[in-house]
Amino acid sequence: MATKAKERFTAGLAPGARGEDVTALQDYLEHFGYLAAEDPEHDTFCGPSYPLGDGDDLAVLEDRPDADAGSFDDATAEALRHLQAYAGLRPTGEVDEPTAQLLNSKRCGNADQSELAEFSTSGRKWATNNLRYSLENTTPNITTGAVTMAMQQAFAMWSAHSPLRFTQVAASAGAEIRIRFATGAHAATGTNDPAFDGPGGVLAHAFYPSVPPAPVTAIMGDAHFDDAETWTVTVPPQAGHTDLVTVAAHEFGHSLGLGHSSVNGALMQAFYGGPQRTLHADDISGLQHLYGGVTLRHAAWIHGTGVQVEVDDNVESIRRYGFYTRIIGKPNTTNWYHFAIPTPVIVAGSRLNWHRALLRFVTGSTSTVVRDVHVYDGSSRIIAHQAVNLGGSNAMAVFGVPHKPPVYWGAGISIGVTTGAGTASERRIDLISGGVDFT
Amino acid sequence: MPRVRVRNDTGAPLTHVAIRVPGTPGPGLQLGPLESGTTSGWATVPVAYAIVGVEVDGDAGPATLQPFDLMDEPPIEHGELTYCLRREGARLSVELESDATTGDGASDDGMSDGWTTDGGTSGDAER
Repeated sequence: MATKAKERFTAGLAPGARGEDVTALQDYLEHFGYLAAEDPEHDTFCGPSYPLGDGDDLAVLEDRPDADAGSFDDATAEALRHLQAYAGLRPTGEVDEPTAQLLNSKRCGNADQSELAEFSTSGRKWATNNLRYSLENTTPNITTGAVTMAMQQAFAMWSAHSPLRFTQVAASAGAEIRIRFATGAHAATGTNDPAFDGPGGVLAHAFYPSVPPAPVTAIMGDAHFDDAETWTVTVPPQAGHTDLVTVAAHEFGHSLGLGHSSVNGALMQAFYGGPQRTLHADDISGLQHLYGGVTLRHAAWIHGTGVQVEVDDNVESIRRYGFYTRIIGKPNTTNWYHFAIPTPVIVAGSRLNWHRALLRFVTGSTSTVVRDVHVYDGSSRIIAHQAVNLGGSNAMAVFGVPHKPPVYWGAGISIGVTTGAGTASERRIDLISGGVDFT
Repeated sequence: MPRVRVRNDTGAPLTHVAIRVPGTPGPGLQLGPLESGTTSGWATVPVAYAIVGVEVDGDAGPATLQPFDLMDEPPIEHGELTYCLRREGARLSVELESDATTGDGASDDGMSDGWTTDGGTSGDAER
């Protein structure tokens, strides 16, 4: 007599669960591309990775969550939500009845790669990689200098992952991207520029570029910010204040031709969810779909053992392990660590240009974070990435230089690290290496 | 004019629910409180979009969703729209669940001066 095979997955499995059922779920999610493979075969970034965990490098590069085996952790729930959304189910992050049926059904064995890219583009893009922007006015809430830095940081997020260069010019120079703060109806004659709706409504808007080779009109690329909002560059913002860097970076995504994304965590999602000063893999995919990707060209690195500590009194312990440095900060302190990067200023007779700074590090908890990353040419700071607040395992964090200027004196990276109040293990940062890539 | 309402699928009661159609000046439209799984009454608005600004409060604390902008969002001038509120972890999300674009104006309560409600409460429990 034939018997029905036992269902492999049953409803009820939820975050917090542990055991073989969770492992089986993780295996399924890994097989179909929703979780990072535990021991992937790969041929890049494959060297000894300690203190990064095995596979961390590839997981970060591919932006797949990396789960603890046998534990229904946040990464497992996130991966399951992706699967559910892909299958048209409610993204509960738990194995409910419909999800169990899905998991138990026969299906194609290929990974659901399309899930990893939900960006949308307008079909429009700039015909040049050298874009100019101008600040037509500023907002009374913050200084002009802070607005300028906020715009630089927002552009740098996009320049880090593309061949695009963003150079600030005078308001009279006819820049491709003109930045303006305005309230209510603010359209220039003959333009279709919607009015703003006052505090608490939409935050800003921007205009797509043209479809090459159609001509560019003056308003294309422009970004307008509702000055009825209370803008800030302080993180975390006070209640009722809005992070200018995040909104500017989102609007510049539109200025470059990107539409809204449906991927949770993408900067190009339709809703502002507080400060987000790094791009999601989906944002990068959309950008590179339009403008092409970038590869390391003239990268120069220094191992973490070369780091200099600014404030010795804020360090509880420091130890150099071979090629990386482990620093345990005193509770509730901030410190600055400095990398001096050996710099190939001139290669084959040509002066190199800045592209981006690169960092590899791990913190012991999310309460210990790399808050700020400042990039120097000699003694001149050329870009400040403020309040990026990156914790955990960072196989290669990337920080762009928007205008990609020539390099003259040599590269330096200064990172501001805030340490929480946790255990020594939670207060540690492993500085593995710092680097810079040039074009 | 379109009619809009909100369904609470966050799994917990919400003591405060307000929505604001982006691009429309003025305060938000109060549609709460809403018990878990229930739906608010209808409110007539001059125009709606697939996205909406949301402000809620409840056991999990206050949360807001504010649209960056209205890029690629065409105005919806007729029909009945239900915005479904969910929580994914700590994050609030909103999804347009239905768009029964009747377009015949039969549901208009005749009040055209901005947003209006039909006095609905959290008792609809339509699913």
